[in-house]
Formats: sequence, C-alpha cells, structure tokens
Amino acid sequence: MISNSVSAIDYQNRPFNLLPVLIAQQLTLIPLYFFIPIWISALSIAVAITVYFTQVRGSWSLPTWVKVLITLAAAVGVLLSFQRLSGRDAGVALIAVMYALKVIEIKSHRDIYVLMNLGFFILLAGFLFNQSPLIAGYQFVPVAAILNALTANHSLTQTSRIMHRSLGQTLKQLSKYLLLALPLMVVLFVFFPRLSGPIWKMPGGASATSGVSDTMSPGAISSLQLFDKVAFRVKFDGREPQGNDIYWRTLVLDEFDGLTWSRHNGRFEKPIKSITSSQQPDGKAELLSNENTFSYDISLEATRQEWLTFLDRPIDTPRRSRLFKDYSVRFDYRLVDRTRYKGVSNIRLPLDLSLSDVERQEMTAIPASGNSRSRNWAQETRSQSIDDREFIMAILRRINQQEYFYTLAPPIMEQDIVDSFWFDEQVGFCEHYAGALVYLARAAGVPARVVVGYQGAEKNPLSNYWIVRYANAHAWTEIWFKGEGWVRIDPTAAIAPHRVEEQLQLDYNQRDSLFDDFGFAAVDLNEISWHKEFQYWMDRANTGWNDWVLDYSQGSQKLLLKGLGLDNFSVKQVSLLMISILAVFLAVIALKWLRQTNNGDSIEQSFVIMCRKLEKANYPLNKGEGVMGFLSRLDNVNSSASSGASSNTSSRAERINPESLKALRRTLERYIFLRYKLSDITENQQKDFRRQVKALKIRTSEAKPTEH
Amino acid sequence: MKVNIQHITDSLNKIILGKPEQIKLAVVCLLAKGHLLIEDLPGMGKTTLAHALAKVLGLDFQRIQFTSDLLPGDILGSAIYRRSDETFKFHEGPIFTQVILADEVNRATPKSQSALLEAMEEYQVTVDGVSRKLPEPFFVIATQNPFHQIGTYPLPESQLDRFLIRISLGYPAREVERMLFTGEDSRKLIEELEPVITPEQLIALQASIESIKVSDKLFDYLQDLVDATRQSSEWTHGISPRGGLALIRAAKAWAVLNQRDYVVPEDIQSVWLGVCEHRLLSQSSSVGSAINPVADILSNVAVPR
Repeated sequence: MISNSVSAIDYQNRPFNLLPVLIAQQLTLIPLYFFIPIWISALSIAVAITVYFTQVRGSWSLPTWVKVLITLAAAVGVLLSFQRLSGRDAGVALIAVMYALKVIEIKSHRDIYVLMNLGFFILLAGFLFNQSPLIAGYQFVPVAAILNALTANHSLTQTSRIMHRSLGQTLKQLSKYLLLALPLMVVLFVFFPRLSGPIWKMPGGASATSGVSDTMSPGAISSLQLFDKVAFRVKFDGREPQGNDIYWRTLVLDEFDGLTWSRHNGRFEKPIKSITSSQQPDGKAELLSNENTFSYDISLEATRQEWLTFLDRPIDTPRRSRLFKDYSVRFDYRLVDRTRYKGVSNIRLPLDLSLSDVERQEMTAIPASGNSRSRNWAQETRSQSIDDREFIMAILRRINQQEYFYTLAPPIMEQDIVDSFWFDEQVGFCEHYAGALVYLARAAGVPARVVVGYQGAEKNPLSNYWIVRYANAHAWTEIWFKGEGWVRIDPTAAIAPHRVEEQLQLDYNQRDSLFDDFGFAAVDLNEISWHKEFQYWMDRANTGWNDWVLDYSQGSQKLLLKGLGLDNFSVKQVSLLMISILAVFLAVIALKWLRQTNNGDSIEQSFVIMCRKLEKANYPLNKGEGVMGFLSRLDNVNSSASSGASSNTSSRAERINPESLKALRRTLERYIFLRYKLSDITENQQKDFRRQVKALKIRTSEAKPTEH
Repeated sequence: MKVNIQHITDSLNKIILGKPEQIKLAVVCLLAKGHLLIEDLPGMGKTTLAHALAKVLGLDFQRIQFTSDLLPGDILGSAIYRRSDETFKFHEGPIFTQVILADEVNRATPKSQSALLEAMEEYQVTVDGVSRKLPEPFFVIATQNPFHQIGTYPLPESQLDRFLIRISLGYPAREVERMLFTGEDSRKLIEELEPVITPEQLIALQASIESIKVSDKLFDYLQDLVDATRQSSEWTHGISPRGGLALIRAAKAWAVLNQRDYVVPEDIQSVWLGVCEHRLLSQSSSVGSAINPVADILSNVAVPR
C-alpha cells in the first residue's frame, strides 16, 4: 500500500534501530584502531557488543555515577598509556575512547543523531595519521554507514524489516544522498580560499626526492649538496665510449621565464618513433653497426619520476616508454623501484638538421624584459662574429679566459639572474653556465636549449660496469647550427681547471665502490608483471592524490583558477564565487523539490511529468479536474475540431494528432487503472508507468482557423 | 445486470424528458439505499418521476400528501379494535410499501415528519411497542416546496441530513417542453412501462455496491473536499461524517451506474452537489445569486494525483 502521510504519533514512537548505529560507529573507528593502543580498540568493540545484546534483551541503563566512573577510568587509561593527554596520539586516543563509550549513553533518538554526527568528525581524525587515497576511499564506507543509520532511525520500520531490504536497494538510496553532496564537496574543495602555508604540519611527512629535476632555477640555490648515492649503473655490450662522450641525457629544458628553466609543453608533446623501429631496415642496420653506436644495460635507481636516462641521443627505447622529439624518453609510470632496461645510443646522431619556423621561434624565445645587459652584450658579440659557431666560441672563450669560477655554493641571484651571473658574480655551477649560454645564444637569435642529465661515469674496478652517481648530475646545452643540427656544447667544460673549487676534486675521491654490484635485483622494463603494473598504477594514483588533494595549496588553486580563466581573482572574489555557486546549486535542488509536490510516490511523480507535457501541448489539466473528466474534455475538443464545428475550447487549443491522442489516452487510462483500481502497485508497474510517461510524446497538428 | 442499469435510466428518460442528470442521481440514490429529496415547485414532474421509478423497478408505490393535520398514525398505520374477536388489529399505513412519495413534507407538523424520518433511518416502524419491518427495498422520495414557507415546518438540518441526495428538476428546456406538449400523456406512458429489473435483482445490485473499490487517493480527495467545507466561512457547519459516508456511497453507486468496479474522482464530483448542497447551510444568503459556493469547492480543491 502506498501512503505518503506519516502521523506525528507514529513518528514519535518510531523504533530504535541500534544495530546500524553500532555498525556505523565501529566502521568509523576502524581506521583509528591501527594507531591507538590496543586496549582502547578492544574496549570499544566490547562496549558496542555489550550494548547491542543488552538492547536486544530489553532496556537497560547505568546509573550516572557509573558512567562518570567509566569515563574517568578511560581518561586515566589514556593518560597512563601516553603520559599526557595532549598531542596527536594521545588526543586522538582520548577522542576515540570517548566516542567508543558514547554508545552507553544512548537513550533517545537525539542521542543517536549526536553520536552519528560526531562520527563525521571522528572520520577526520583518521587523516591525522594517514592521508593515503586508500584511507580516503575507505572513509566513504563509514560515511555511507552513518547515513544508513540516520535514515534507519528516521524510518518507521524496525531494524529487522530494514534488513530484509536488499543491500543494492539500500546502497542505491545512500548513493543518492552522497551524489547530492558530491558537487558541494567539489565546489568547496576547489574554491575554498587556501592559506599560503599550512596552518599546522604533521610530523613525519614525505621525504624529499633527489635526482634530476624537471625544472632548473639556478638563481635560487645557495648550496648544492653532492649526493654520493648511485643514480644508475651501466653495463655496455662490448665497446665502451670514451670519457668525453659520456653524457647521459634525461631531459631537455627549453622554456625560460626569467627565473626557471622548464620543459615546454612537455606533457602534451607528441612522441616520435624511435629510429630502430622506423621502416628503413638498411638505415637501421647501418646505424646499429656504426662505430658510434653503443648498446648497454642500465639499472636505474628509483627516481620517482617518469623520465628514463640514456647515453646521449638514444636511438632505441624500451616498451611502454615514449621517445619525444627532443630525445627525452618518458616511461608510462613513475619509477618507484630500481629499474633495468636496455638502451641503444648513437653518440654522433645528428638531430633536427632542419628547424621549422615554429621550432626556431620556440628555441630562441626569451622573456621580453630583464637581463638587458646580457641581451645587448650577446647581440653585440654576434654582430662581431662571422657565424653562429664563431659567436658561441666567443662566449666559451670568455668563460675560459675571464675570471669565471665553478663552485657548489653560489650566491643567491634574485633578479636578472643571467646579468648578475654573467657580469657581476661570475661564479656558479653547471646550471648557471648552461642557463647563461642558452640565454645569450637565444638573445642573439641562435636556437639553443638546456639538457639535463648526468655526465661521466666511473668504472667499477672489480667488474665490467660503470656507476653514475647523483653527484654526476649535470646540465649542458645544445646549440643548433645550420647544417649540423643540434650540437652539444658544455660551457662548464670551458672553465679553466684551476678555477674549479678544490673541494670538489676531493669529494670525487671519497667514494666507496668496492662493495657495489650491478646484479642487484631490479625491475626489468621488458618484463613487467601485472602486479608490478598495479603497483605503478597505485603509485600514480598516489601522486595525483598528493599533487591535487593533499598539496592543493594556494598555488595550485591559483593555477587551476587560471586554467578556468579566472586569474587575478582575490581571495574575496573567489569566496564570493564559491558562495554564489553553492547558492545556485542549493536553489536548483530546492526548486526541484518544490516542483516535485512533496513526497509523492513514483506514480505521482510520473504523473507530474505527464502534466508538464500536457501543459507544453497547451492542454493543461485543471486543478480540480480528474483524469477521466480530462479525457472526455480532450475527446470533445478533438472531435469538435475535426468535425469543423467551432467552439470556444477548440479554437484555443490545437488538435492533438490522432497517434499521440491514442497514446495519451492509453497512458491516462493506465493511470486511472493503477491509481483507482489496484490496491497494491508493484515496483515494476511503477517503473513501467514511468517508462510509458517518458515515452509519451504529445504532438499537436495545426488546427484549421475556426470560423465564428 | 449491467445492462439492466442502463435500461432503468433509458426507460426513465423516456418519461421524464430532458433531465438525464437528475434521473441518474435518483437512480444512484436508489442503488445506494438512500432517500431522495426533491425540492421543487408543484407540477415539475416529481410525482411522475417517483411513479415511473417505482414502475420501472417493479416496486409498489404509495403517495402521502403531507398536510398540517397529518398525524403519525396516518403514515405508519394504527391498531384498530375489532369487535368480532375483541382484539386490536394493526392496520398498516401507507408507509408499508417499497417506493413512497411524501409530497410537500414540510407542510406536516414535526411530529409527523419525524415519524417518516425515523422509518427512513431504521427501515422499521414501531407502533404500540411492536416493531414492524418495512418491505425491502424501501425508498422514500420526499418533496418540498422551497418558496412558499408560510405555515410550513421546514425540515431542520438534522433531518435534511437523512436524505442522501437532493435534486431539483426545474423547468424543462424549450424544445423538451414542446415535446412534452405534443407527446403522449405521461400517465398513460407509465401505465405501459414494463419493469426492467426484479426487486431481488435490485437488492443484489444494492449489495454489490459494497464491493466497489475506493483507493487511498480517492479517500484523500474526499477528505480534502470535506475539509474544505469545514474550513470555509461560507457555511455555519461543514459536511458531517455521515455526509462523508453518504458521499462515498453515492460515488460508489455512480461508479456502478457507469459500469465500473472502482471509484474515480469524477464519481465524487458528479454526486457532490446532490449529496452536499442540502447539508450545507449557507451563512450569507446567496440564494438566487449566480455563484454556487458548493460547486466552487470542486474547482478549488485539487485532485490528488
């Protein structure tokens, strides 16, 4: 029987549905059980079970003084466990134990609502310990359970009856609530004003990752630590390259904003085919047998980045990786483990013998303002040189002959970093030199770019492989010369040897390589198992979570808003925007509810849809008009119009075309049947009717103008 | 059975020309085991309707002309001493019949009126301590003249409530009246009428009304309507629960008349005026004005969907 009125007395006497409440409470506490003392977890579960069974047997209540005693005992227990009550661990433990004991107090529905609404707060406590996406995903389970408990305690049916409902049905209902909340959540998350720094920080955050970075801001670094850690190990098949040729290419940075070098549109660049997989077998064979071609195995330590490192100018790349036009290679996932792969490189491979106009423009782009001294100097020097190569040589000569020093502790340069390095400080490390050279070249209209990677390697004296360390990280340049393509120029090599800090030479010799071994277990990129791939995938999800949820700071918010075309918005404006979006959203929902003629059953809702269709067709159903009366009115209007007789009603509305009229009549008669004849409407009948109404199309044919 | 109902109205329509709605209401009243009040001027065909109804249904018919000196005994009957066997013998009054026309019921004294009304409600009469059942079916058609109220005892509200339906026939339309003038004498036509239904069938038909389905939504509608009369300031009192019950019964009968076994809102709407108008006492005397607040209720109360 479908009835939509609930008497106030029935509602007041609605049963206590304690089981869903206890389930929700326990699900809420489960993430905390991993971080709080075991006795609290045990106590919490025991209390919940006890309360459930006493509830089943009948009502039972503890005297107030016992409750007070239990509470005090729990607080003392926490104090004894942690020696204090403040701080993250003790605080959360205290909250958890109090929340666990709260169920003893349940006497009325109001207590249940308090407990459940507190649950939303308890859920947040879990994030104090762990902020991984898995935990966040799990939190939807307690949220659903809390919603379920709240609805169960607002309903008139007993728990046992609710249990009879299928899980799917319940989930469907709950997901409706969650879906409704989702847009609110997203809007609040995206637009809620962010502080420039965190209000508080939890100890034990993620550790910094080191290695080759995909940006380079030499001016901001005041001291560079040389890491002795191994970056990767290489074993050559047969021949080995000479020391001068050992440049390990990782990334190309080709965009400069005045402070930072970064990869231009790197994410969206299309990959090219590697040379060995191209369809010129003879060229390929020639290339592979070339004396400048080396093949090797690399065992790369985890970099936590997607970029793979190769001997400069790779010509073949492993599976699942893509070779880009700038000859950097990207793997599908971040490398979170030591990874082994095969590489084939040609150290004399000519690159881009011709440049398109767009590329030339990109490769000579520098910020419109700043570094004016360098700019002028470069243009002047170029005009005195015969060609591009001569110009670059002039720069290198200046580095070699003038007082340029190599140091790992350069001064911080904040403005016009090229000017201050090139003319004032004249000290820096590879990034300063590479950055300056590329800037000067570009200023003179010579295409240039920064390449980052590693330079050099040391041979393990005990075996046949080479070790490259983080200390070998290096930045050099590639200059484009007509007829030669991209040519590697390493400005750091131009520094006179006596102006390289001695400390550096010392560092280089303090390395332990004796117990090193190439044969470490490593992931072979050609044999990635499915669970490895899952691991990679999880790691990527984690990264996205970290980047876009946990680290969603003022900066990322600005970036996102910029992407939405909302740059230069103040905090106040963003807040106003957020509030107005929320207001519109709530207004839409409220309107929808109002139009739904509150708490109608499915048949009624379908009928409302039909009424709207009828209104559109200019046949509105009057307020006090029954469906049967409407049907006869419809017949009158339509028959009189067809017979040509003119009446007031027929002249106003257009005739409904016979097909639609038939369908409409069928639907209305179905409605009468369902509504007045049947005493029990099954769900299928409701659905069928809804479908029938949705399929209904009321077409009006043009009525002939009626003569009066 | 269903065909019979159609026949009833068809036959009556041949006698009472141009009043199909009133005839339907009269039949509904009969099917719902209620009593009919016709409020009209003399000569409008009240007697003809009552007579024809009785004839078509194959029922006995009696007429009582109510006057100010009519006594209860004149209606119910009285015990008369018989000298031959020295006992009192009860002589049944005119009320012991199946269809009774109580003409100008407001002319009689309240005492006599209540004698009739009690019989209507109880379906039995009690004389000298002995209860006597009235024949089945028992159907009272009372008439009253609304305009000549001098020297009359108008039926109080509580008594009016006993009548399920009140109708008024009114003047016929012009062309209908012409047919009346040119056609045969109605008295003769009634003579020729053949019953289309037996009293047993009629009783069965009346019983079948009980099984007509009324859905929740319909009860919602009914209650909305009744509430609206109670909330309104047009009337001193709203429709009583008995009035509500009368509405349901009449609506069910209307559904049967339309060959349905469930009630739709239109059934209630059709019987609404007949059932409710005489139960609602207007506060502001709007007699003669074009606005009918009782009918307005129908257009103001939304049909629950």
